[in-house]
Amino acid sequence: MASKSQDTTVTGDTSKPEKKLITLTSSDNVDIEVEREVLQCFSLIKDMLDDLGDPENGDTIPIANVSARVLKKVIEWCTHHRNDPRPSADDKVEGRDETTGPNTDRKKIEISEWDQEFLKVDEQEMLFEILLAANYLDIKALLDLCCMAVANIVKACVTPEKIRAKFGIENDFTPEEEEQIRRENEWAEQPE
Amino acid sequence: MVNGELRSFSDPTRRLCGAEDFPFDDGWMRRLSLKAWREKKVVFTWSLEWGRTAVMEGGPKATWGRSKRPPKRRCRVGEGAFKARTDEMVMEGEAFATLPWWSVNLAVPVWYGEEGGKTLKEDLALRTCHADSDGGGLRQGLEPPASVMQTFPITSLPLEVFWAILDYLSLHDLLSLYAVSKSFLHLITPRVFSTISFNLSRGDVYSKLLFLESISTSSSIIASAVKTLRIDSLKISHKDQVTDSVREIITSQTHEDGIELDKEAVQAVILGHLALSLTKLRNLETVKSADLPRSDNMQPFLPSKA
Repeated sequence: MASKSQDTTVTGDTSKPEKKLITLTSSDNVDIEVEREVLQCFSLIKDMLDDLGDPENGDTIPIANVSARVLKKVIEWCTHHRNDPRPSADDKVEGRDETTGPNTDRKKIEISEWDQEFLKVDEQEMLFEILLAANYLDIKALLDLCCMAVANIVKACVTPEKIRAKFGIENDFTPEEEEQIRRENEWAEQPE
Repeated sequence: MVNGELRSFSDPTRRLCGAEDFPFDDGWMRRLSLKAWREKKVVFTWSLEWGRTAVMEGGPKATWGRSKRPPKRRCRVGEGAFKARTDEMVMEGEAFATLPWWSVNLAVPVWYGEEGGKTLKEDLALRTCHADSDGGGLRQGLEPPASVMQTFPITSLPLEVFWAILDYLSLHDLLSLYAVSKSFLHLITPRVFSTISFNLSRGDVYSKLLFLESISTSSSIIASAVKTLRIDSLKISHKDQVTDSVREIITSQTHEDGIELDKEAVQAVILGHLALSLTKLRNLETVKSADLPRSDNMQPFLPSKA
């Protein structure tokens, strides 16, 4: 067994001594203590704790898919938003499928200043990892926030060429296919 | 052919087997002394990310157990082997695991029997491998180039996450993304083109007519996605809509002055073209037209481009 690192940083409000702490173990084997209350944001873990109860002394909860660096960011976000109202089951947006209709229901969410600062990560990869972690840990509000951040990157690119450059995507269309797409897109972009 | 290596998940520095005998072949099984394998019963739990398809070849029938709360729609294992929303699935022959291309995120705690009936657990992880772009076998894993790591691997996002991102994009943004790569076509086309709505009293009539023509051709990329075709108005009510291009199409069927277009002629033009589309469009569930002409007005309208 590889030796674990112990991250003694306790996220959340430490001024209240009665807070119950739960230890998470990241994919890179770092233990991070988190207030149980903060874990209410982590639907995946919340459900697990509800079903199985809190870990006994010394036990940790492995978060196999999330590194310590990302997990800390996620916990930071959850700590800040710990008092936000939780989405009810009815609020959950089921994954859209390919039969979803046209673009008539674009989401509009205002991003708080704090969240804007939170999203200012140095690398796109970090944003990507936070997004995947939010998806894995079932933190819907954070997932929505990250999705919106990615959408904003796409919007800022404006053209397909810039999107390819931004995301490192190869153009795999033939010239004929590009022309067909251009013609069909022209219609869709026609102002009414 | 599968290449790669297995390392202990609990101790990633511990190499269990290498590319030459990975995985699920007799050598791998012998090396790990999986007695249970002879009984063709090995239980895995798994954690996979959506992405390109990797293939784990071979292996006899095995029972795959799902954890109590599997990641929602994150996993796609097996072709016809994974029965969603059941507690077990049966794998025979090949298993297809979809994985992110830059790293395999596969953790397989394996429980197996030992002589004396004792159950042992070995945590395994397949690391630093990635899938062929064509969905072939795993190749020897390498860390992705630094330049790639700096970018956002958007094409390997879980589908439900990608769809959530699309929710935040406008039509213009969707069309830009749509034209980026074939990877996005099947995801974005239904969103943009499932409902086509025309109002000919506004905008460029000519381009709309050409669009109708376009989706009736075999080369159309979007035709299969169109489910509803709605024409709100067959009228061309503004003089500035009568461009030379439009005039070329319908002059012979309209009044010579070109100001007051013949409504019936325009209707015939649209319906004639619509009829062509209808013979080609698949999945067309409804066709709505606010003002359909009589059937005897149906006639071809666009001049042949041959």
